[in-house]
Formats: sequence, C-alpha cells, structure tokens
Amino acid sequence: MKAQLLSDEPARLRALRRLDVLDSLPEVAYDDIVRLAAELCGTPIALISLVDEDRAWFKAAYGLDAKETPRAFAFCAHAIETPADPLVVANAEHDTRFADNPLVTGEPNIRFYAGIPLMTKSDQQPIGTLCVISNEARELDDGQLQALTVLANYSEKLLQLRDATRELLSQQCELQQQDELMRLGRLSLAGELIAEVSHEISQPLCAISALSATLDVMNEHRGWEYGRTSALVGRLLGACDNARQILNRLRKSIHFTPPEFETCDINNILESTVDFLEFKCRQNEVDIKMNLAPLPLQVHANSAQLQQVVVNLFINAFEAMSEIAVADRSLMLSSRPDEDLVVVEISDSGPGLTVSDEVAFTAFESTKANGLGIGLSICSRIIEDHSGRISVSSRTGKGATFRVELPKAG
Amino acid sequence: MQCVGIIDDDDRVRLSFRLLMEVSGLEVETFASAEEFLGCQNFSRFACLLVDFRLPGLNGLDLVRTLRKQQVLIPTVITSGFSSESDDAEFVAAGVTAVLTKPVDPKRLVKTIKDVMAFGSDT
Repeated sequence: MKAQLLSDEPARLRALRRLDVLDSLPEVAYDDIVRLAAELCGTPIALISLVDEDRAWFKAAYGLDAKETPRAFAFCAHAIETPADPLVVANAEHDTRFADNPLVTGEPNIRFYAGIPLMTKSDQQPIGTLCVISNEARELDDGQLQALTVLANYSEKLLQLRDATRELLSQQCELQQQDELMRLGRLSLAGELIAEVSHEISQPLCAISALSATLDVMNEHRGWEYGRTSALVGRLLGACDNARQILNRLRKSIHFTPPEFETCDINNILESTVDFLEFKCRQNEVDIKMNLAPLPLQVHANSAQLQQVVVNLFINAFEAMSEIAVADRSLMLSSRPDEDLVVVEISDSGPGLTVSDEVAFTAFESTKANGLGIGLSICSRIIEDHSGRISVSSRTGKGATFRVELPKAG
Repeated sequence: MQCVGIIDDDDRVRLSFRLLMEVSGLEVETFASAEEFLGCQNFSRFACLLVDFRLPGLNGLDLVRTLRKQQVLIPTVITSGFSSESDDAEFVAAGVTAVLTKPVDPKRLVKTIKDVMAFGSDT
C-alpha cells in the first residue's frame, strides 16, 4: 500500500528543497547520530531519511549501502503522514500497509521499523525521519524510544542550522547585489544628470555666445558707441567662455572611457541578467517566464549597457507589481528576430503606466514617489546609442510591455 | 555667392548662428531637420554645411552619409554636444570636414566655416 500524499505536499517539498540538503556530501555529525541510534536501539540499520518528491534520500545511513529508495516503498513516507507521532512497526509481515512491500518480501527483509518524523523549525513541515530498522520483529522500550526522539531533535537542530546558515549567506549575497545595483544606479544617474543638464544648458549658451559675437561684429562695423558697448560685449563673451569651460570639464569628468561595442548574443545578455537579478525576483516574489529565441540573436552592442537597460526595466516592473497580489504577479521576458531587427519584450502584470507612453522616457518625469524618473530616460539614451528603439505600450490595469528593438549584427 | 546651410533643430541656436554668419558676411539658409534639408531640390548652392549631430530623425552623421550616397559632396562641419558622440575617427571616415564641440566658441566657428569655404576642400 502506498502512502497518501500529504495535504500540503508542495509546501513540504519547498521546505525540504530550501534546506538544499538533498544529494549533499556525507557529514560526520549526521553519521554519528545514526550510528548512535543504531547502537542505542540495538538495530543493524539506522537512517536519516528525507522524503523527496519520488524518493527517500538518506542524509546518513548506518548498516545500509543504499543512498536512497523509491518513495513508493519508503516506510518514512508513511511516518511523515503523522508528524506528531513516531511510527513503530513491530512486524511488517503482519502489517497490511507493508506486508507486500518489496523491502519486506525481499532484501533487506525489513520486519521492524521505528521512525521519528523530522520537522523544519520555521514552518513545521515534516521532511523525513530518523529511523531504526531491523530484519527481526521486535519492540523498542521506553528508554530507547526516548533516546531516538532526543537524537531526532538533534538532527532537526542540525538541519535547522543549515537553513539558518544558508539564509545568512543568501542575505549577505543579496546585500552585495543591492550594493552593486545601487552603485551602478548612482553612477549612471550622475552620468545621465550631467549629460542631460549639460545638453540643456549648452543650447542656450550656444545662442547667447553667438548673439554676443554678432553684437560685437555689428558694433565694429557701425562704430556706434563702439567704445562703451564693446567692453560690455567683451565681458559677455568672457562669461560665455567661462561657462563653456565649466561644461567641458564636467563632461570630461564622467566619460573616462567610451563604451566598447562588440558582436554578442542578446540571449546570453538576457540570461546572465536574469541570473544577476535572481535575488531581486525572490525578494519581490515574482517568477520570471522566459521565452527566448532558440537560436543566438547577434547584436552589435556593449553588453554591460544592455544589461543595465534590462536591470532598469525589471526593477521598474518589480515596483509596478509591488502593490498587487503575489499570485497575480508575472513577468515575461522574450526575444525574437524580426526581419533585420532583434526584438526584446518585457511584460509585467502591474497596473500599467500612469503617465502617457510618450513621456515615459523623458528625464525627470517620474511617477514614483522615491524616484527621479531617470531610469527610463537612461534606457532610452543607451538604446539610441545602439541605433535601436525603445517603446512601451500599457493599458490601465492590464500591465505594461516594454519593447526594445536593436539592429541585427552582421 | 554660395551659402552656408545650417541644420539644427533648436530654434535659438539656429537663429543666433544665422545672425552671426550674416554679420560675418556669409549668406545662410536654415533647416530644422536633416529630412527638411534633403528636401532641397538643388544642393549646388551650398558651399558648406553646419550640422548639429543630435537631430530628430536622421542625425548629423546619417545626413552626411546619405548625401555621399547621392554623390552630393558638400564640406560639412558637425557640432556635437557630447564627447561620446564625437568619435572623431567615425566622423572622418564618413567624410566630415571638421567637428566642433557645443557650446561652440563663436569666433572659432566663423573662422572654421570661412576656412572650409575658402579651401572648398573635400577629401
């Protein structure tokens, strides 16, 4: 007879997988526990067995060479059905649940089984057992059962420690990622601000200095009050000069090296960016669906800059979806060829844009309380530098789709 | 007398450049985009073009390349705002005669235009 699936099997499997313990290497602490369990209970076999989707995998095994057994035959799969109590089978031959089990009818001829369910600390999910097994029918006395329970507690603590260590490592990693994102963000923000402001200032300055020079020439020609006004025009031109030098210095300060372009596969760029953002996705409880073209899509690009665009668009999407229910959050990333273009689309299920699609890419047009609205204008500038186009279509309540088109390389 | 074609989408810049060129004794025609300029029937009246790099639609470099394809060889000075835009080698390869960074020193601008017109050079 097979064990019934537990009511919340997916949650149980998630809890188990989160430990990241399946198929890990043997560890002395767990080996010691099973050896001690076998000795205290006087059985030839003791296991720490974790019940995976279709197998029971042994973190530690004493007296048994196998690494795992199919879940359908595993006694532990039954034990975790009643997580509050130990499962004790005095004689499997006389138990309708196990009499026809191949592990009973054949090797290793199990007769006796006692398993204490192991629970995860945080969400109380039964993930496996500490069990002792014998090929002879028998019982455990109270002291042995108590000892086995104590050892099971220690096993749980060890597993829990593993969970905590992992959590810490992942938090640390996440912090580093965030630092890196912030750093990239600040750098490009500074660059974008300087580029935008210097362009905006440069235009009128150009006009002012050309008009001043015009006045200067006109004065010279007419000789009209030349002496008095030429000094003033001279000062005007000097001030223009000054402003021009400041702008030039400012520009030099942000462009150390022009970005290098090379032929690269856009799918590689997208995949590595998604890897980079894995923590952000988990943090925002968003699953990314990818639908990339099966063949490489070559573009002539600076991959770091394109990555920055994708990161920006993803973070936008995360923010857009932060207000909606987790179950409704979806993010779709696709790439495909379209004649001589490569098209990348990022669709979210957020509320759509609150500004018109046209002004979305204008600097300083943020709709976010804590943003400068510079992210999308950076994206736009980068894509323009790649001779491409970025556009968005959104409908209120139906999400937004950002579309990037780049010329195919070659 | 041949004239200077100024192509810049910024009204302020276009007007001020026109005035500066005119008081410096040059004849000028202005256009707000590359496309508008390409609509000209006769290019032979232009001795020199002063083109902003950043234009809506075709940019300054695109315009130079388009003209070359049509066998129209007019010496061209490009004004560019940003150092990343002014990849000089690319400009030279496309046939641009000179590149000036915006905001341009007006005396230098007039001198450059006059030099280009005097030599009528196009390599």
